[in-house]
Amino acid sequence: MDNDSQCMARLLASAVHDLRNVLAVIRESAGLAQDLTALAMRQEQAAPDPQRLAGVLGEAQQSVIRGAALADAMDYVAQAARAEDNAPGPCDMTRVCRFFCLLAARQARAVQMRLESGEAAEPVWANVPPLALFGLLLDVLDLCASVGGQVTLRFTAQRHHREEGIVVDVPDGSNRELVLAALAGNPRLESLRPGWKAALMPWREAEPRFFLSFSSVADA
Amino acid sequence: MEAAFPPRTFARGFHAEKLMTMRVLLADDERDFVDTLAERLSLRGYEVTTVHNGAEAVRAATSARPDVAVLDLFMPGLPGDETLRQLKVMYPDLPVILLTGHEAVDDNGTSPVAKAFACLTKPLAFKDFVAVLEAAARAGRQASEGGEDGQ
Repeated sequence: MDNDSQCMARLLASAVHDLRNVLAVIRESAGLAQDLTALAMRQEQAAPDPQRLAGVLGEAQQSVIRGAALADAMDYVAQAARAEDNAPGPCDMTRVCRFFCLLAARQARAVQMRLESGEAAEPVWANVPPLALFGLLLDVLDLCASVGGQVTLRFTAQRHHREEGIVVDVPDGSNRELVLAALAGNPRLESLRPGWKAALMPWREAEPRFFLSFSSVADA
Repeated sequence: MEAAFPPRTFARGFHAEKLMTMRVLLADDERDFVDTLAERLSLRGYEVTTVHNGAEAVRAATSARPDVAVLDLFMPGLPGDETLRQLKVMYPDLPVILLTGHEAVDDNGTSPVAKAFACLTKPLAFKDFVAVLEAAARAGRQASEGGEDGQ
């Protein structure tokens, strides 16, 4: 299996797991609403406690929103895979960051990590294949997991010195120092395809952060 | 990142005709799911303790002494299969049901998952889940009675 397929398989497996959880919450919330109604009827009340019922239905609605976001992310991956069979177009790195955080959330939770996508003021367009970019973000996640996880990892698409890339930072977590050391250790990013180059460079401002650059060798 | 929440115990009578209270330990990091499931079970007379990771499940098994434990397979920290293994060392007769967001987990019977009473895929049909719970509790009772007879 090539790197793109492996990356897609892992992200989709993670997303499907979360989607099943979403469905489970909706199913149990609907069931609980039925239970509360049945209980009220049994006790000869006109209706169940409206506040309790609203809470239960609210949970179901929140889950539908979460499920729809996961579906959007899975759809984006499918579209990206189809587009790459033809001609890859420019991709919005902000969307890739946002969708990656949704798709890989379950994998991250397994190592007690939380993923955040930073807010970019506007789309950050780059002529890079989105599937390979997903693969690079997965490499960064794996690197942090390999030293124990237990941090929040934030990805923010940004243009820096006329180069598009992704700012990686670790805002908190009990294992933050070890994760920062791993990121600073000039890590090899495994998901590169021929003709592309990527680097994770330390970028010191107010706090340690890194800039993940990704571009075609031909652009160099 | 693993917050230590105290185990929650749900116990509200709904089916007063239920003669014997079954104690159920539910461990899943999906809080909305596990709390809603716990509430539904408690409305039916089950005494339910909920926790959100494997380490808490092991601790709660000692304090709550459940008749059946239900574990999510992919929990942060101590995953469900390792939690199952530890629970089986401490309480060999305790029936454990595994929940998973993925299909088919163990095909060769060698992993700790093979020691589970059942492995169920989410989303669950509540009626089927309750049937498996009851069957697991029966099997647990039989196993412990068999153990006592043998002594």
